[in-house]
Amino acid sequence: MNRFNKLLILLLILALPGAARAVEIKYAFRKGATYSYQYTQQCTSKSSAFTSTSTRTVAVPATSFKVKAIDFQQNAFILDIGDQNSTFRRYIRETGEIKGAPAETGRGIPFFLTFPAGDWKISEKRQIKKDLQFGNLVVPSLWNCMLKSVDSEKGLAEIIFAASVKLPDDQLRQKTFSLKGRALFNLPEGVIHQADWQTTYKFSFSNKEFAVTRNLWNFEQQVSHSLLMTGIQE
Amino acid sequence: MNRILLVLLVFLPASLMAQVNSDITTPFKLWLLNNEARVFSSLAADENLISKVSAPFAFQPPPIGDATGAEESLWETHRKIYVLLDEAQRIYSLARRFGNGRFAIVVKQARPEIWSILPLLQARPVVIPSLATGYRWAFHTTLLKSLGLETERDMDLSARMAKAVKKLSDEEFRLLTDYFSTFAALFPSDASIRVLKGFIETASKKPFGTGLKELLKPSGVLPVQPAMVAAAPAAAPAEPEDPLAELEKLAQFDAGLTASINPEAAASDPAAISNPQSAPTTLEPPPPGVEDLFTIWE
Repeated sequence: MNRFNKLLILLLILALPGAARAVEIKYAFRKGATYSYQYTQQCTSKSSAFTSTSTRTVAVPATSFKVKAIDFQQNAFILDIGDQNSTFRRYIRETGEIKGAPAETGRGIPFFLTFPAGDWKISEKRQIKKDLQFGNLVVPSLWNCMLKSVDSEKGLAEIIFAASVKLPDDQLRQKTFSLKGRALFNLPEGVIHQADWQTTYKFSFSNKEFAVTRNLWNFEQQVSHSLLMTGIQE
Repeated sequence: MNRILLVLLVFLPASLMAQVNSDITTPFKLWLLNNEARVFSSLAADENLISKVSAPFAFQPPPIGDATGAEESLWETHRKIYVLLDEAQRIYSLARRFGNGRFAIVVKQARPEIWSILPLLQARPVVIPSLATGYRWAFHTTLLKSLGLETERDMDLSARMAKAVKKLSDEEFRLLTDYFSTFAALFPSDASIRVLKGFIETASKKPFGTGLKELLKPSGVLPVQPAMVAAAPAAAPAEPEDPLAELEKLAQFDAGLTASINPEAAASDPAAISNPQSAPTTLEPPPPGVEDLFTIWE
């Protein structure tokens, strides 16, 4: 065995674990199946004006919704989403990208997190950018996500994600928004099993007249979201 | 026609000026309202944008409305502040209009109810006392109503102001003071904020606008000098209902004589009973730079 072959074997040995730690994350809703989810939300907000401060924490009662997989046509799942009171239809690709939302015609479709097509290596980062249209304003926004780990025994992949939106601001209106979260993807079922994320919004408002600038009000809001799959019915 | 226009051109700016001078809350109130409007707009726009990314997965229903934020308590405090400002403005305007007591003097001099009864003096003097009482109270009640005054509420403007201020907690009042300071720093040339701040801080602590009390009392309690009452003609007995006696009182008042309360008049007048120490109305000089609206009787 010459030196070249030895090097080749060594490289293959090194590459093998990496290849094993790459998985394909894609939705695989089964036609006719109903996926039940529970969603909870808790909001903590704070406002301050000079020395006056007020804080409020409100837990929104948990809500349940179902995702009914109607069909898979033209590379998109046809899903009916909602509860007993309201249902709306969405066409979603395997990567999570939205293809259509007939029940939301005229409304701006939200900017959703999508997964890469094909294998996704652990620790591999992915960034998706989109300009959100708001009136005449174009607001740049992006999703950052990374496959953090894969639990082969449980069949779960852990994905961490973050969103950033550049809210329109100026010298008198300083704003920041961030979203951070973690999701567990059920690999055998091809659905999100659990996800938790938190949004943080800060807004500082000032007044300025000539050379005098005075901070007036500060607002801060943190919302914790939690999504949990509670069952699958065929 | 030209004369009417001339009169309008001469008097309108003066009355407008007087209105502007007595308006101490509008600049501050508008400033606060405008800032609120800007923040409402920003919060709504941001919420709309944030809702576009706050649900990461496409199979999720549209996000439900976020729970009400802590800013609501701030807006609630502002609503209380607006109520206080409106009340302060009303009290300030009342004090400016009637606080020097001159209008009360004019009204007590005019006494239309007396003049309306005078023709009966020769024909039916018997009915004069009963008619005079009714006319007097009706005129006084109508006058107060037309001026937007209430005896109970406006008798003590300082107490009314204190009642309005008490509706704010200490923290809310501190916030209002901070707003005043901020406004004053941002708009140093605006004099209204200094007047407003001073008025709200001090008006509830010491009496002011005491001349208004004279206007709120029915005319029947005007001080009467016993000697003059005794000198009244027989046809016109010295009773509060007697128009002649009333005229005498007015004449006496015009002459600047000091008088004491007629016990009979006081007994027949509930307002007099509640304010037995009513002093003769004194004139205060009009505030500098303000046109005196009641110079007609001088």
